[in-house]
Amino acid sequence: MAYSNKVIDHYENPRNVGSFDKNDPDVGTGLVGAPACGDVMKLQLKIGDDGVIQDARFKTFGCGSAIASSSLVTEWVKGMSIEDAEKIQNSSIADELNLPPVKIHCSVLAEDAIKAAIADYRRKKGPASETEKAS
Amino acid sequence: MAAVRASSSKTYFSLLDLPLRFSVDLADLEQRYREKSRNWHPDRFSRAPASERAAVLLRATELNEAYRTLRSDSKRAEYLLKLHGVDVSDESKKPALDPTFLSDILELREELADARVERDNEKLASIKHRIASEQKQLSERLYAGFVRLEQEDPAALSELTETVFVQRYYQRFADDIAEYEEAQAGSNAVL
Repeated sequence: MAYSNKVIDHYENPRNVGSFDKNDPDVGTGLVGAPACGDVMKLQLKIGDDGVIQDARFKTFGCGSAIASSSLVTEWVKGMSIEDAEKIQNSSIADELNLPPVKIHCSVLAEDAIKAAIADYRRKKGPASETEKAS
Repeated sequence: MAAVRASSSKTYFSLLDLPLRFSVDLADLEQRYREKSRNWHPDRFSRAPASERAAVLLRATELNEAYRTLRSDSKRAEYLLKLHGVDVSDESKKPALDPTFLSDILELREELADARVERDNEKLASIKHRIASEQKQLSERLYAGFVRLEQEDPAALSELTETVFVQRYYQRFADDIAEYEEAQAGSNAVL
Protein backbone atom coordinates (compact mmCIF):
# COMPACT_ATOMS: atom_id res chain seq x y z
CA MET A 1 0.00 0.00 0.00
CA ALA A 2 1.40 3.38 -1.00
CA TYR A 3 1.24 6.32 1.35
CA SER A 4 0.12 9.67 -0.05
CA ASN A 5 2.70 12.45 -0.40
CA LYS A 6 1.11 14.35 2.46
CA VAL A 7 1.40 11.36 4.77
CA ILE A 8 5.05 10.90 3.81
CA ASP A 9 5.73 14.60 4.35
CA HIS A 10 4.24 14.54 7.87
CA TYR A 11 5.92 11.23 8.62
CA GLU A 12 9.37 12.43 7.55
CA ASN A 13 8.99 15.96 8.96
CA PRO A 14 6.52 15.60 11.80
CA ARG A 15 5.33 18.95 13.19
CA ASN A 16 5.20 19.71 16.88
CA VAL A 17 6.63 16.49 18.25
CA GLY A 18 7.22 16.58 21.98
CA SER A 19 5.58 17.11 25.31
CA PHE A 20 4.28 19.81 27.61
CA ASP A 21 4.21 19.41 31.37
CA LYS A 22 1.03 17.44 31.91
CA ASN A 23 0.59 19.06 35.33
CA ASP A 24 0.48 22.58 33.85
CA PRO A 25 -3.07 23.83 34.53
CA ASP A 26 -3.23 25.34 31.02
CA VAL A 27 -2.36 22.05 29.32
CA GLY A 28 -4.89 19.43 28.31
CA THR A 29 -3.53 15.95 27.64
CA GLY A 30 -5.29 13.37 25.51
CA LEU A 31 -4.00 9.83 25.53
CA VAL A 32 -5.70 7.35 23.20
CA GLY A 33 -4.95 3.97 21.74
CA ALA A 34 -6.08 1.73 18.90
CA PRO A 35 -6.20 -1.78 20.31
CA ALA A 36 -6.70 -3.35 16.90
CA CYS A 37 -3.18 -2.33 15.85
CA GLY A 38 -1.55 -1.40 19.16
CA ASP A 39 -0.96 2.26 18.28
CA VAL A 40 -0.66 4.81 21.10
CA MET A 41 -1.13 8.56 20.60
CA LYS A 42 -0.58 11.42 23.04
CA LEU A 43 -1.82 14.90 22.10
CA GLN A 44 -1.33 17.95 24.31
CA LEU A 45 -2.93 21.37 23.90
CA LYS A 46 -1.81 24.56 25.59
CA ILE A 47 -4.90 26.69 25.99
CA GLY A 48 -5.15 30.40 26.87
CA ASP A 49 -7.64 31.92 29.30
CA ASP A 50 -9.64 33.07 26.26
CA GLY A 51 -10.19 29.43 25.30
CA VAL A 52 -7.92 29.65 22.25
CA ILE A 53 -5.38 26.91 21.61
CA GLN A 54 -1.94 28.53 21.66
CA ASP A 55 0.24 25.53 20.99
CA ALA A 56 0.11 21.76 20.52
CA ARG A 57 2.45 18.80 20.86
CA PHE A 58 2.15 15.13 20.07
CA LYS A 59 3.89 11.83 20.53
CA THR A 60 2.62 8.89 18.54
CA PHE A 61 3.91 5.36 18.50
CA GLY A 62 2.31 3.75 15.51
CA CYS A 63 2.21 3.58 11.74
CA GLY A 64 2.93 6.41 9.31
CA SER A 65 -0.75 7.32 8.98
CA ALA A 66 -1.20 7.63 12.74
CA ILE A 67 1.88 9.88 12.97
CA ALA A 68 0.72 11.98 10.02
CA SER A 69 -2.82 12.33 11.43
CA SER A 70 -1.56 13.57 14.78
CA SER A 71 1.06 15.85 13.20
CA LEU A 72 -1.60 17.38 10.95
CA VAL A 73 -4.06 18.12 13.75
CA THR A 74 -1.38 19.85 15.85
CA GLU A 75 -1.03 22.28 12.93
CA TRP A 76 -4.76 22.67 12.48
CA VAL A 77 -5.74 23.35 16.07
CA LYS A 78 -3.26 26.15 16.75
CA GLY A 79 -5.25 29.40 16.92
CA MET A 80 -8.58 27.59 17.11
CA SER A 81 -11.01 27.95 19.98
CA ILE A 82 -11.53 24.73 21.88
CA GLU A 83 -15.15 24.72 20.70
CA ASP A 84 -14.00 24.70 17.06
CA ALA A 85 -11.26 22.16 17.68
CA GLU A 86 -13.82 19.86 19.21
CA LYS A 87 -15.74 19.90 15.94
CA ILE A 88 -12.84 18.53 13.87
CA GLN A 89 -14.07 15.35 12.21
CA ASN A 90 -11.90 12.40 11.38
CA SER A 91 -13.21 12.55 7.80
CA SER A 92 -11.51 15.95 7.26
CA ILE A 93 -8.22 14.47 8.47
CA ALA A 94 -8.62 11.40 6.27
CA ASP A 95 -9.51 13.56 3.25
CA GLU A 96 -6.58 15.91 3.75
CA LEU A 97 -4.13 13.00 3.98
CA ASN A 98 -5.86 10.80 1.37
CA LEU A 99 -5.96 7.93 3.82
CA PRO A 100 -7.03 4.58 2.35
CA PRO A 101 -10.01 2.83 4.02
CA VAL A 102 -7.78 0.51 6.09
CA LYS A 103 -6.12 3.56 7.66
CA ILE A 104 -9.27 5.55 8.49
CA HIS A 105 -9.00 4.41 12.11
CA CYS A 106 -5.77 6.45 12.40
CA SER A 107 -7.74 9.63 11.71
CA VAL A 108 -10.39 8.52 14.22
CA LEU A 109 -7.61 8.17 16.76
CA ALA A 110 -6.48 11.77 16.12
CA GLU A 111 -10.06 13.06 16.47
CA ASP A 112 -10.45 11.15 19.74
CA ALA A 113 -7.12 12.54 20.98
CA ILE A 114 -8.28 16.16 20.46
CA LYS A 115 -11.53 15.45 22.31
CA ALA A 116 -9.69 13.69 25.13
CA ALA A 117 -7.21 16.58 25.49
CA ILE A 118 -10.03 19.14 25.67
CA ALA A 119 -11.94 17.00 28.17
CA ASP A 120 -8.79 16.80 30.31
CA TYR A 121 -8.36 20.60 30.14
CA ARG A 122 -11.98 21.16 31.17
CA ARG A 123 -11.60 18.73 34.04
CA LYS A 124 -8.60 20.70 35.27
CA LYS A 125 -10.18 24.11 34.86
CA GLY A 126 -13.71 23.81 35.89
CA PRO A 127 -14.91 21.29 38.41
CA ALA A 128 -16.86 24.22 39.87
CA SER A 129 -18.45 25.34 36.62
CA GLU A 130 -19.22 21.73 35.65
CA THR A 131 -21.17 21.17 38.86
CA GLU A 132 -22.99 24.47 38.31
CA LYS A 133 -24.06 23.27 34.91
CA ALA A 134 -25.19 19.95 36.29
CA SER A 135 -27.37 21.47 39.04
CA MET B 1 -20.28 -22.79 24.67
CA ALA B 2 -23.51 -24.27 23.33
CA ALA B 3 -24.31 -21.23 21.20
CA VAL B 4 -20.91 -21.41 19.58
CA ARG B 5 -21.21 -25.06 18.67
CA ALA B 6 -24.59 -24.54 17.06
CA SER B 7 -23.55 -21.52 14.97
CA SER B 8 -20.32 -22.93 13.61
CA SER B 9 -20.28 -26.50 12.42
CA LYS B 10 -16.73 -26.37 11.10
CA THR B 11 -14.04 -24.65 13.12
CA TYR B 12 -10.25 -24.77 13.19
CA PHE B 13 -10.68 -26.98 16.25
CA SER B 14 -12.99 -29.44 14.53
CA LEU B 15 -10.67 -29.59 11.49
CA LEU B 16 -8.08 -31.10 13.83
CA ASP B 17 -10.63 -33.14 15.82
CA LEU B 18 -10.03 -31.07 18.92
CA PRO B 19 -12.61 -29.94 21.46
CA LEU B 20 -13.47 -26.24 21.41
CA ARG B 21 -11.23 -25.29 24.30
CA PHE B 22 -8.48 -22.80 24.88
CA SER B 23 -6.17 -25.25 26.58
CA VAL B 24 -4.25 -27.11 23.88
CA ASP B 25 -1.40 -29.61 24.10
CA LEU B 26 1.01 -28.20 21.52
CA ALA B 27 2.79 -31.50 20.84
CA ASP B 28 -0.55 -33.22 20.28
CA LEU B 29 -1.68 -30.33 18.06
CA GLU B 30 1.41 -30.66 15.89
CA GLN B 31 1.00 -34.40 15.56
CA ARG B 32 -2.64 -34.04 14.52
CA TYR B 33 -1.69 -31.38 12.01
CA ARG B 34 1.02 -33.57 10.49
CA GLU B 35 -1.27 -36.58 10.18
CA LYS B 36 -4.08 -34.59 8.61
CA SER B 37 -1.67 -32.83 6.27
CA ARG B 38 -0.39 -36.15 5.04
CA ASN B 39 -3.92 -37.31 4.32
CA TRP B 40 -4.77 -34.12 2.49
CA HIS B 41 -1.52 -33.55 0.70
CA PRO B 42 -2.22 -32.37 -2.88
CA ASP B 43 0.44 -34.77 -4.24
CA ARG B 44 -1.71 -37.71 -3.23
CA PHE B 45 -4.49 -36.46 -5.45
CA SER B 46 -2.48 -35.62 -8.54
CA ARG B 47 -4.54 -38.02 -10.66
CA ALA B 48 -7.90 -37.04 -9.20
CA PRO B 49 -10.40 -34.97 -11.19
CA ALA B 50 -9.82 -31.21 -11.16
CA SER B 51 -12.77 -30.47 -8.89
CA GLU B 52 -11.50 -32.92 -6.31
CA ARG B 53 -7.98 -31.51 -6.52
CA ALA B 54 -9.34 -28.02 -5.88
CA ALA B 55 -11.26 -29.26 -2.83
CA VAL B 56 -8.15 -30.98 -1.50
CA LEU B 57 -6.07 -27.87 -1.97
CA LEU B 58 -8.67 -25.84 -0.12
CA ARG B 59 -8.68 -28.33 2.74
CA ALA B 60 -4.87 -28.30 2.91
CA THR B 61 -4.89 -24.49 3.07
CA GLU B 62 -7.50 -24.52 5.82
CA LEU B 63 -5.43 -27.01 7.78
CA ASN B 64 -2.36 -24.78 7.56
CA GLU B 65 -4.36 -21.79 8.69
CA ALA B 66 -5.92 -23.79 11.52
CA TYR B 67 -2.52 -24.93 12.75
CA ARG B 68 -1.00 -21.45 12.52
CA THR B 69 -3.92 -20.02 14.50
CA LEU B 70 -4.20 -22.68 17.18
CA ARG B 71 -0.54 -23.04 18.03
CA SER B 72 -0.26 -19.38 19.14
CA ASP B 73 -1.87 -18.47 22.48
CA SER B 74 -2.84 -15.01 21.31
CA LYS B 75 -4.20 -16.08 17.91
CA ARG B 76 -6.10 -18.97 19.48
CA ALA B 77 -7.58 -16.60 22.05
CA GLU B 78 -8.64 -14.12 19.36
CA TYR B 79 -10.15 -16.91 17.28
CA LEU B 80 -12.16 -18.28 20.21
CA LEU B 81 -13.42 -14.79 21.05
CA LYS B 82 -14.50 -14.41 17.44
CA LEU B 83 -16.50 -17.63 17.71
CA HIS B 84 -18.13 -15.97 20.71
CA GLY B 85 -19.05 -12.98 18.60
CA VAL B 86 -16.23 -10.66 19.69
CA ASP B 87 -14.01 -9.48 16.85
CA VAL B 88 -10.96 -7.81 18.38
CA SER B 89 -9.58 -6.78 15.00
CA ASP B 90 -12.66 -4.57 14.50
CA GLU B 91 -11.21 -1.06 14.60
CA SER B 92 -14.48 0.60 15.56
CA LYS B 93 -14.41 -1.21 18.90
CA LYS B 94 -13.06 0.95 21.69
CA PRO B 95 -12.94 -1.01 24.87
CA ALA B 96 -12.63 0.91 28.11
CA LEU B 97 -9.18 -0.10 29.25
CA ASP B 98 -7.62 0.72 32.58
CA PRO B 99 -6.70 4.43 32.17
CA THR B 100 -3.24 3.96 33.63
CA PHE B 101 -2.52 1.21 31.12
CA LEU B 102 -2.10 3.53 28.13
CA SER B 103 0.16 5.90 30.05
CA ASP B 104 2.28 2.94 31.19
CA ILE B 105 2.63 1.79 27.59
CA LEU B 106 3.48 5.30 26.43
CA GLU B 107 6.07 5.70 29.16
CA LEU B 108 7.68 2.39 28.25
CA ARG B 109 7.68 3.43 24.58
CA GLU B 110 9.43 6.67 25.47
CA GLU B 111 12.00 4.81 27.55
CA LEU B 112 12.64 2.52 24.61
CA ALA B 113 13.08 5.46 22.24
CA ASP B 114 15.56 7.08 24.67
CA ALA B 115 17.47 3.84 25.15
CA ARG B 116 17.86 3.52 21.38
CA VAL B 117 19.14 7.07 21.01
CA GLU B 118 21.57 6.52 23.87
CA ARG B 119 22.46 3.05 22.57
CA ASP B 120 21.95 1.83 26.11
CA ASN B 121 21.93 -1.93 25.60
CA GLU B 122 21.37 -2.70 29.25
CA LYS B 123 18.23 -0.57 29.29
CA LEU B 124 17.04 -2.11 26.01
CA ALA B 125 17.45 -5.58 27.50
CA SER B 126 15.56 -4.60 30.64
CA ILE B 127 12.63 -3.18 28.61
CA LYS B 128 12.53 -6.33 26.52
CA HIS B 129 12.49 -8.40 29.68
CA ARG B 130 9.64 -6.35 31.17
CA ILE B 131 7.55 -6.79 28.06
CA ALA B 132 8.21 -10.53 27.99
CA SER B 133 7.15 -10.87 31.62
CA GLU B 134 3.97 -8.82 30.99
CA GLN B 135 3.19 -11.10 28.06
CA LYS B 136 3.71 -14.16 30.21
CA GLN B 137 1.31 -12.81 32.84
CA LEU B 138 -1.25 -11.99 30.17
CA SER B 139 -0.99 -15.53 28.83
CA GLU B 140 -1.69 -16.89 32.30
CA ARG B 141 -4.70 -14.59 32.56
CA LEU B 142 -5.95 -15.96 29.26
CA TYR B 143 -5.73 -19.55 30.47
CA ALA B 144 -7.57 -18.72 33.69
CA GLY B 145 -10.14 -16.62 31.85
CA PHE B 146 -11.01 -19.29 29.30
CA VAL B 147 -11.46 -21.88 32.03
CA ARG B 148 -14.04 -19.54 33.54
CA LEU B 149 -15.64 -18.93 30.15
CA GLU B 150 -15.95 -22.67 29.62
CA GLN B 151 -17.65 -22.86 33.02
CA GLU B 152 -20.06 -20.21 31.66
CA ASP B 153 -19.00 -17.44 34.03
CA PRO B 154 -20.88 -14.41 32.59
CA ALA B 155 -18.10 -11.90 33.40
CA ALA B 156 -15.39 -13.94 31.71
CA LEU B 157 -16.03 -12.85 28.11
CA SER B 158 -15.57 -9.12 28.69
CA GLU B 159 -12.52 -9.69 30.87
CA LEU B 160 -10.96 -11.92 28.25
CA THR B 161 -11.66 -9.33 25.59
CA GLU B 162 -9.82 -6.73 27.63
CA THR B 163 -6.90 -9.10 28.19
CA VAL B 164 -6.64 -9.78 24.47
CA PHE B 165 -6.68 -6.06 23.69
CA VAL B 166 -3.93 -5.39 26.23
CA GLN B 167 -1.99 -8.27 24.78
CA ARG B 168 -2.21 -6.70 21.35
CA TYR B 169 -0.46 -3.57 22.59
CA TYR B 170 2.35 -5.61 24.06
CA GLN B 171 2.55 -7.79 20.97
CA ARG B 172 2.90 -4.72 18.78
CA PHE B 173 5.59 -3.45 21.13
CA ALA B 174 7.48 -6.76 21.04
CA ASP B 175 7.20 -6.83 17.23
CA ASP B 176 8.71 -3.35 17.03
CA ILE B 177 11.64 -4.43 19.18
CA ALA B 178 12.19 -7.55 17.09
CA GLU B 179 12.08 -5.52 13.87
CA TYR B 180 14.55 -3.02 15.28
CA GLU B 181 16.93 -5.76 16.39
CA GLU B 182 16.74 -7.37 12.98
CA ALA B 183 17.54 -4.06 11.31
CA GLN B 184 20.45 -3.55 13.72
CA ALA B 185 21.78 -7.02 13.03
CA GLY B 186 21.47 -6.31 9.30
CA SER B 187 23.43 -3.06 9.46
CA ASN B 188 26.10 -4.65 11.65
CA ALA B 189 26.50 -7.43 9.12
CA VAL B 190 27.08 -4.87 6.38
CA LEU B 191 29.76 -3.18 8.48
